[in-house]
Amino acid sequence: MLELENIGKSFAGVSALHGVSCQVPAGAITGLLGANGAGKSTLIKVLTGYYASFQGGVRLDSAPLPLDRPSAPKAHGIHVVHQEVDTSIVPDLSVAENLLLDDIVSGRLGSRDILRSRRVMEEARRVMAPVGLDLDPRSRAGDLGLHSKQLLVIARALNQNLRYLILDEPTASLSLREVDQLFEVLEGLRDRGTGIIFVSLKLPEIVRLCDHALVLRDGQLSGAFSKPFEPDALVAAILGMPLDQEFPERGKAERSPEPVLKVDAIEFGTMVHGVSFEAHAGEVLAITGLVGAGKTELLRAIYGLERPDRGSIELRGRPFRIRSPRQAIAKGIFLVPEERRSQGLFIDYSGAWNLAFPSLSNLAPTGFVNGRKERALAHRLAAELDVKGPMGEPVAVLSGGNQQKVAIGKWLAHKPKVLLMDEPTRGVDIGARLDIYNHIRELSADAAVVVATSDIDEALGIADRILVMFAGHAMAELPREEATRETVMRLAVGGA
Amino acid sequence: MQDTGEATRPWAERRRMPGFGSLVVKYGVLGILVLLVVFLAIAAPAFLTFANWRYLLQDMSVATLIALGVTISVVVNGFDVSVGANAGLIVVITIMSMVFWQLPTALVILVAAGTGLLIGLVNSALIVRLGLPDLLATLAMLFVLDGGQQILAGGQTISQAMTLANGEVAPGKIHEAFLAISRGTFLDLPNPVWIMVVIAILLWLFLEKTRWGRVLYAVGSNPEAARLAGANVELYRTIAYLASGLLAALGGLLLSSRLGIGTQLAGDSYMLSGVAATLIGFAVLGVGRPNALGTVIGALMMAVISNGFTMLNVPYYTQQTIFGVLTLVALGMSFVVRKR
Repeated sequence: MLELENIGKSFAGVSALHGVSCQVPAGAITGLLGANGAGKSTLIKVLTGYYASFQGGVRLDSAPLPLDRPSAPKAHGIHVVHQEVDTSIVPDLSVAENLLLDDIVSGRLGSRDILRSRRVMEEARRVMAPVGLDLDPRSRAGDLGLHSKQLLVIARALNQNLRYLILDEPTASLSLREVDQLFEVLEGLRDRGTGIIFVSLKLPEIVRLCDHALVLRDGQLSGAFSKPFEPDALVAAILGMPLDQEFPERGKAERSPEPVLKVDAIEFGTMVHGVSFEAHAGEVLAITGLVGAGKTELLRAIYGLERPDRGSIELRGRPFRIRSPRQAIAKGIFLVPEERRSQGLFIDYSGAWNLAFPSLSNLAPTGFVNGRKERALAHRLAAELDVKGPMGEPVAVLSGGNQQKVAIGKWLAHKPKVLLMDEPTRGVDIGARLDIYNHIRELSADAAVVVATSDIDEALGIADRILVMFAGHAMAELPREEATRETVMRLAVGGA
Repeated sequence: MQDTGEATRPWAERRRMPGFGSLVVKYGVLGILVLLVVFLAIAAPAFLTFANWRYLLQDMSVATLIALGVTISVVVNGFDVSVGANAGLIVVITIMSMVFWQLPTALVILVAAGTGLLIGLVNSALIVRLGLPDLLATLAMLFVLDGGQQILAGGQTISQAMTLANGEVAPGKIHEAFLAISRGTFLDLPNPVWIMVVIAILLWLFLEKTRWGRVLYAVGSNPEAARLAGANVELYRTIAYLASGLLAALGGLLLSSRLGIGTQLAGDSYMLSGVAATLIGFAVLGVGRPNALGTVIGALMMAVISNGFTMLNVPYYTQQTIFGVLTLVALGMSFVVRKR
């Protein structure tokens, strides 16, 4: 039993976590939920010994647990799978070396060349087996997919004295099949007595997997639940109020008679095979499919980031070729990319700076940026999208949902004709998610909005038409009325 | 350590800390500079005189221009370490242009500018087009330019009326007009000081106030996001290396006109000082990124140390140590405090 007593942590006088007391039992999976910025990451960092000091204390089986350095919880069998799992892996070392890294560091294994010996390879295979990994121990760890890397980290922890495992949003970028596989492993660990803390923004996963759930809001514990869960109660604890609806009302906007964007038989490498679709102003088109179905590549090809091998694109009936995002932007086509931190934002710069960036030519007709106009524009866009948080601080301090709003908001000054959005709510909490859905709906009044999402429920919830992709092919295009979860799912896995 | 129970004291401390911490972040470097000046003014009465500062500013002008070039390359998240060798090559080439090839002053200046731009162009081709790591490409360029200037000069110092290998005397003269670039004055300050001030202000305006400067910073911060937002990333990175090449050449030109002879490898020391000034500049006013004002302050700090401590008869190696320690203190303050 892991007991947290009155945990608190503040930064520069601002409290991020305050008086959190709860229990995490062994042999059970405890979900940890909360909106972006609710304090989940801070709590995890406390538990993994990231901070040299914090308020309150933690007990492990009634004995005080030192947490003042990362090695301390590890020594007591508490391990973590970070969201950025790459931070736990040495990419240039082999799978075996990564698995046995702790033994190598401690000197139990590995002088000179024995690292390639049969004994080490067998040892590595033995360590991998419990998590269902079957990799060549000699292969380079950096080449593995996210899913395998996660399992590798878990296997490595298991090989030590794993008693509690903390997973920080492990499913954010996994395919459905990989999620199933991961859950199977976690359930296996639970059954042999490991305590698991599972952080996720996805409510259905919590309901499906967890035995208990802890909800954080504004740095405090706002609810503790046990199976069977009532999703509404969880949502209320996350938001501080019940959520009336998950998706916005479908608008009454008039669908433009002619398509704004017409994509015809786009062919791109091995990722996109002859996909065609039309997007009209006044409606939302969702492109859905599993992770890796080619949705991202299709949007990138339209946006001029990839050069399609074949196919044509028409904008308002006129064929045109886009060779760079610059040209796409000049035509009124904008992309909100998949990875907001690495593609959509300048994370070290302020919200205002980010919001103004694509509008610089308007803000600086002479070349010199008009600071007053810039602040006014940023203020207007932030208000329009209801961005919460300081606009003068680096966007890195904003929550995921607010970061995403900035990534979307920077295009709003341009009156988009076509707005391409790739996974617009990934890593966004439910409160901000509804905001974003509402904006998508509003934007679609004047623009053709194309949303690529691997979340089928999201596609069903926001779209007027749904294009389902599988392995680079467009399987079918369905009007919302005809699409059901089952049909879309079947198409997404390649069924007819 | 974990603090349990009543946590009133840490709270009180925390609340005061950010005020003090951000002051250190913001004014740490400037504070050290002021303390240095005060100390030197007391210890060496001649330090705080107009005549000395006239000399000090002239002394720092070449280093500052070269440092500003490094700064631009760092703005786009690159690194140009070929600037010192570039300036050195310009010294040799400009003197040779007059002594051997008898070019007029205007043409000498054009040759210098053209050479600097060409070096920048090659650097950017290697880095932007071929995708070589910036440090590697410009380091290789450094060796090429250092070797190249010695090959050009045949291993000799080039000077007016020097004796050539065939026994003849070099035909050309070093023009008064050329020497006047560095040696002339305007409003009682040497020309290079004015050139430095004007270029620094222009560059500051460009980087901080114009949209092109914004895009340069954006490209440095996240090239992928900049591309997706419609910026021509390759073009801006190319421009950055052209600018650093040109500024290094300008530094070399001023150096050449002050020296009046084609000493080999005269620019080498300016690379490290340029890098140092740029990095110290990160910490000035807590900006946390390369910036023109900060680089000038960094260069000023170095000039003050070398000028002041020379007056105090502190040997140069001790000066180096003092500078190193102060740099550590300045950067340490701003980075450590920021991380808290």
